[in-house]
Amino acid sequence: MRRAFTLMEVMVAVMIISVVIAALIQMSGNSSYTFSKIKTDSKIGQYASFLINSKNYGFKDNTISFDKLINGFQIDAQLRKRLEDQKVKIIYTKLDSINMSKLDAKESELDDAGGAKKQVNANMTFLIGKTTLKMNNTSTSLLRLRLQ
Amino acid sequence: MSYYKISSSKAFTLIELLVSISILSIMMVFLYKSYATLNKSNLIYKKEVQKLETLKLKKKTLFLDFSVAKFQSVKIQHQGRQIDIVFMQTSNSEHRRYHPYVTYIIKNSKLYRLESLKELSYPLDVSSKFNVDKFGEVTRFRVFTSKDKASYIVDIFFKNKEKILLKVKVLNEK
Repeated sequence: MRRAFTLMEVMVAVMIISVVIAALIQMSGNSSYTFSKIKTDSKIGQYASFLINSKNYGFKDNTISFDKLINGFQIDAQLRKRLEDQKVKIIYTKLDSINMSKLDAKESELDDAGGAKKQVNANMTFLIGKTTLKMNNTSTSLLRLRLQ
Repeated sequence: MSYYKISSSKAFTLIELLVSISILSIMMVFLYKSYATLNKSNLIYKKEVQKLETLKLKKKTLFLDFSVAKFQSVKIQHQGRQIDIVFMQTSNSEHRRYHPYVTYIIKNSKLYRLESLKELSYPLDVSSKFNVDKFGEVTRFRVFTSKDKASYIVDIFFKNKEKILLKVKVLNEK
């Protein structure tokens, strides 16, 4: 007597086929998402250069238009218009601080150019932080070291 | 006396075989299609990655040229609303030269980086010797200076829609 497929067999077969199809779709979906993300990240990455040497921005949280980051530049109207339209969110995260006065004598010694040990100024504090620049759902970060 | 157990299992019928082969072939067609698409998209990604790498290299060259330029050696000549010509002496060399003179110039909408041992002037002299690096077709190449002449903004629009916007701080101050 001929036996029909059981429900379990049919379900297992359908599941195997659907897993294969899902994996195939995901394979192409993942790579295109990853690539578009890399492309946008590389675009925004260059804007991190605007925070370098910026005294007013980058050490506290702000939401500003991009042109604020280039104060003191004689730029043309086209670039100014483009930058005015761009809004950026700056987020500063304090990571660590090293107070030199709290270090003992041996820890605060540094080698000078001649290789001799030299005591560094004990009143200095190194502030280590991270500035994140957020724009159009993407972000780039910059590690900051400040001397106080 | 020996007994042979006769198997009661039945072989596949022709119909069953045909159905299974046709299901398999349909699946193979889809698999091959997706494999072909994957290959095609991989080729596209490869090209795009190469583009990204070239752009990164251009950014790096520009950044290094300006950041290690000799103090106050950067001279900008305006050649229209969208085009500048830039002359400088820098410590960055792409052709193993010691403190070369670098000129960014646009000819037929193409941006070139000229590296020479002697300072160049525009229009270029026939006898001038230099190495040329092609940056690509551009619609805009502008360089802006800060008031203290210690930083520069480089703004480039390439014809293929790529853009470079960099702020560079000159490290060699005085």
